[in-house]
Amino acid sequence: MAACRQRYKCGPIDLELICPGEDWRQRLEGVVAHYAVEWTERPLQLVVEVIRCSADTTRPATGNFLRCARFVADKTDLGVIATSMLGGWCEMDAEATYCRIFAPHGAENELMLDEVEQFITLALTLAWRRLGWIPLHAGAVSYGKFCSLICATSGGGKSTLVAALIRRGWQTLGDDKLLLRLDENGKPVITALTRHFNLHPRSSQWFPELGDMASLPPYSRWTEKRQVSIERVWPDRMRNTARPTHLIEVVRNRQACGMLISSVPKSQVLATLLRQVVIPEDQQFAREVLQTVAPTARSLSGVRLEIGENAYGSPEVLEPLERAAV
Amino acid sequence: MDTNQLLTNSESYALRPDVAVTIVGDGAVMLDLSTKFFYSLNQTGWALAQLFEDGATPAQVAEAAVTLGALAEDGDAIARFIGSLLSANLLEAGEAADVPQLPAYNGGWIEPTLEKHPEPLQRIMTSAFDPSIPLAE
Repeated sequence: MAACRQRYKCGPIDLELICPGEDWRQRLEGVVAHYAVEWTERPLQLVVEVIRCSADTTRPATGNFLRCARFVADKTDLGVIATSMLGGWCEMDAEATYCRIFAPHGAENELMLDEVEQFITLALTLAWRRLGWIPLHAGAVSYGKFCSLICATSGGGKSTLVAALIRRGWQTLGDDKLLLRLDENGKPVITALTRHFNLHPRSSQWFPELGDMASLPPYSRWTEKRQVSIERVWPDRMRNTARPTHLIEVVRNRQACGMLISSVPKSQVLATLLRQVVIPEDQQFAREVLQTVAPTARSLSGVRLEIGENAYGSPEVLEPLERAAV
Repeated sequence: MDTNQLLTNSESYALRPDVAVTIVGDGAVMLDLSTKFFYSLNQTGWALAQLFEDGATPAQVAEAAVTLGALAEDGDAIARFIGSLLSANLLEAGEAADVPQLPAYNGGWIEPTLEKHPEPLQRIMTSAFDPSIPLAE
C-alpha cells in the first residue's frame, strides 16, 4: 500500500504526517487537524511517519522520561524512545524534527490507533517544548486586559465554565489546550492551540445555542464529549494570545449551592499550575518547565471556584466570579 | 543528631542530581523528580541551599550563614534547615568540597525555610499533554 503524506499546521509546528495508507491518515487526522490556529512566527518542521511492522517487545522503554497510561518513554543520547502496551514503539530525534512510529500488525486496530495518536501527541509536545512552549492543560478566558487560566482535572468542568463565561461577553483561547512561555521580559504569555471545545451533550440544557450535539463528532471513544467549533457557536469570541493575570481553580462540590468563591494563596497557585503541565522526569526538561511555570504562578492572583449541582441554571451565578477575576 | 553535632559535621553533602531547581523571585522552587514532591525555599534558604549544589559540609554552610548576617543564636535555625533538607532526602553524600562560594545575596538575614507542599505531583499521566491521573478504561 502506498504511503500517504499530508501537511498540517499544529500551532508553531509545520507537521508532515506520513501514513501507511489513506485510511490511516483519515483516522489520525483528528489528533492533528484541530491544532490549526494562526501562527506568525516561522514554524518548526516536524515529520511523523507511521510504519506498520512486526511486534518488537525486546527493547521496552523503562519510563525514565515519562510514564503515561498507554506508553512509557525514555530519554536517550539520540532523543526519546517510547513503547506502548500493544507493542508499538516510536523514536524521536533529539532535535524534535523526525518521529517514526511503529504500529505492529495484529494489534487490535482501534486500540493501536489510540496508541499511535498518543505517540503523535508525544512528538508534538516535544516539538513545542523545543521551541520554548510548555503545553498547558488548562482553559483560558479574557476580558479586556484580564485573562484567567481555568484549571481542573480532566472532566472537572473547565469547558462548561469557559462556555458560560463566553456567553457573558468573555473571549477565550480554548477550553483545555494552551501553550505557555515567558516573553523576552520574563512575562508569561499564552497562546491558543485549538478552535474547538470538547463539551458534554448535556451542556445544551444550559447553552441552547449548542443545538443537538448528538450529531457532532465525538472527542474520543473514551468519553461522551463532542467537538464543538467555538466560532460556529460563538462568533468572534476566539483570541490567539493573552497575558494571564488570574488562575481559577475549579473543583466540583455537590454540597455547594451554586458557586462558592474564595481566594487562593500563591503557594496553592503554584501547586495548581504544576498539576496542569506534564513534567518529564528528566532533570533538564523538568527545569525548563519549572523555569516557566513557577514565575507564571507567582504573577497570578488565585481564585478557587467550587461548583455545585446545576450551578449554571442561572447566569447571574457567575457575577461574583467575574468580580474576583478582573 | 543535635544542633552542635550537625553543624560540626564534616561530611560533605550535595543536592541530589534528580532534584530540579528554579529561582522564583527571592526564593526558589525545588522538585524532587523521584518522589514528585516539590518544595518552596525563601531567600535565605535558597542562598544556603545553593552551597550544596557543588557539595558542602554543614559546618561550611553555617560559616557562610554568618556572612549573610546570621548570629550565634541562629545556629538552631540553620541546623533545622539543613536537617529538613536531609530528612526530605534532597541531599546525598557528596565529594569533599572546597570552601563553597556564597552566591550574590542582597537581603538581610531571616530564618531559612523549606516548605514541603503536601501533595506530590502525578507520576502517571493520561497523555504527553494531559497530566491528569488516567481513568480506568
